[in-house]
Amino acid sequence: MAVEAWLDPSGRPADSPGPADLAVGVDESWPPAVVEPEAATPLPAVDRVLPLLGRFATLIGPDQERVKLTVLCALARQPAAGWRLPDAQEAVPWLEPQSTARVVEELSGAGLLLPAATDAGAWRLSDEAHVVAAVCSALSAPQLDQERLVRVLAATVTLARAVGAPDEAAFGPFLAAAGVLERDLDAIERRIAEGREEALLEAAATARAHAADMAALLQQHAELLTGSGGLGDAWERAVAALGRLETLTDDVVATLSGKADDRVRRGPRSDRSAMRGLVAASGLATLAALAGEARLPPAVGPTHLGTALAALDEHLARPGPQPVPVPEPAALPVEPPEDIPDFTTLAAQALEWLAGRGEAVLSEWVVGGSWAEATGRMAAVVEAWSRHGPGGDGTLRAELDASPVLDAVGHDEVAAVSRTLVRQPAGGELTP
Amino acid sequence: MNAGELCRVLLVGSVPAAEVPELSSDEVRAEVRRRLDEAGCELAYSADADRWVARLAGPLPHLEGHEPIVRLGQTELAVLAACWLHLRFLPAERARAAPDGVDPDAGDDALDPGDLAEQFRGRLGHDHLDDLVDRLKQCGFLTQRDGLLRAGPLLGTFEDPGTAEQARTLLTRHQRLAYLRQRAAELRADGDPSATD
Repeated sequence: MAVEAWLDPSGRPADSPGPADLAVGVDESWPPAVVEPEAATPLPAVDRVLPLLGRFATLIGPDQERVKLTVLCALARQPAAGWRLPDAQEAVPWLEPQSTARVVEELSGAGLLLPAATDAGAWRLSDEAHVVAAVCSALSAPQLDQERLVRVLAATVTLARAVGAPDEAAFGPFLAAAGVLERDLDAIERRIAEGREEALLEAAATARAHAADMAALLQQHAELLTGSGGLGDAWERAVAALGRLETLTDDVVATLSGKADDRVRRGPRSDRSAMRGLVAASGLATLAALAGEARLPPAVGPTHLGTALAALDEHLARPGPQPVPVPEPAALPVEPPEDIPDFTTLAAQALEWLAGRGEAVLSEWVVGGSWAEATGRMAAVVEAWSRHGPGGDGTLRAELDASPVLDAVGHDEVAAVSRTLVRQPAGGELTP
Repeated sequence: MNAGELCRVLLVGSVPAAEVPELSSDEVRAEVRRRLDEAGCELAYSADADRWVARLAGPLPHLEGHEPIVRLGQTELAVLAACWLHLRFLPAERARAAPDGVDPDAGDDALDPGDLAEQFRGRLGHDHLDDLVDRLKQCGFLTQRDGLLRAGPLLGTFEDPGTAEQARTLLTRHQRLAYLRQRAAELRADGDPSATD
């Protein structure tokens, strides 16, 4: 198929005759032959924005889109009234002329190039092509500056509304911008926790730029986003996140610059509590760095082997342990049995004496002297109760009433004692 | 005692100033300093403890097979710094802030070992910390009376002019970050309905 048959600036079908200057072997120069190193051409920049421009794929076509886009951007800078193929070839000197002709052919076929109305044989960009070229050029920055992220998203909201896209087309970028603010808050909190002041200030600066752009976005598109069919909940979350981010970034900047020291320290600068907090919050390495190279004491005391041997000799010369002689036998005094009081009888008499007072606590008699004496008296009471109480011969004129209560004592080596009351038995009489 | 004897005494431990009156002489003191300096050591006076001490004049070169009697690692230095903050830096800062330049709580500088352990909780176990404190006591950095840790004679000579400023910077940084952590938590709670009662 002859090129002139389908590359007609007048917009005739592809098989109609076209400008003669496109008729020179364009089929042989495909794929496009780049005559300069790619790094010296705008192609790498276009590579970076191609993913974003996927939405234009249907316009550009799937084949050699990077070259087509680059040529289109160059042609957008040609005179609006129209230009001819040599002008196009001159505008992209890095591309082999026949390849340029083929690209022009492809762009024309996609409806991105139209015949110029005022100059027969000349071309102009269609309105869609101008939009594609404008967006491509606008996004051809070497890389997206993080601080500009919300601004770019806000611009896409404006762009979507400008081209008359459905409202939903603006919602995506808005939600993405709100997400950026949430991530900023997380990043700042993370850096505060890590104690990285420099990184914290950088995050705060980026977040402040995002917050300012978000504020402008919210103001500019409030009607769209909060109207019926809008994103009321997301709007409110974005407003709340914006307020929180502005407050926190203000706090970060004021605090780290020392302007908020009156709020940071309500008490004295240095007190015991501040030291405790500092030690608890600082890593071992940070504290160790504070100590630096501690100046150590030099050494231990002098010790000579001769001195040590002399000490050993003196130690060995000491008399060894001798058994202590057994004491001389001595006659022990023997007391008649009647002189030894029966402790159980004594306890029984004590119980009757306590019962005679109406009601008394047993500890009054038991506690006294030492712990050993107290436990001895208690054992005697138990024995007296067994022998002479209701379970014994029944001669004890006292009744015991034990209860699960502890009474504090706090003297005579006894801290507490369980409560046992001693009473006269019901119907019993005391012997005078 | 002559200068040589004084050096030997000082090289094995601190000594009360009252027991070495010879060191009040400028001439003797200069001679002792010179001799210690030739051995890589220096003479220092702890005003609080009223004791003379000798200490190494600089960092030790690293030798693979060297076996120093005492070597303070990072953990020991961290505990030492914590004790210094409580026992030396804090009183000095109180005095610095007082209108008359006198610490209003002077003489009350002691540290409860349990309190210290609490500050290192999660990083140093009780037994490990006790060992470290014992080592610092042996070196002369700390003493212990009535169960409380106090500055030893060597701790009194520990700081150099830049250390206090370094500690102030660290303290300020800690206080600011603690404030920001609190503010971030407050703001998050304010913005999160589920975080409020």
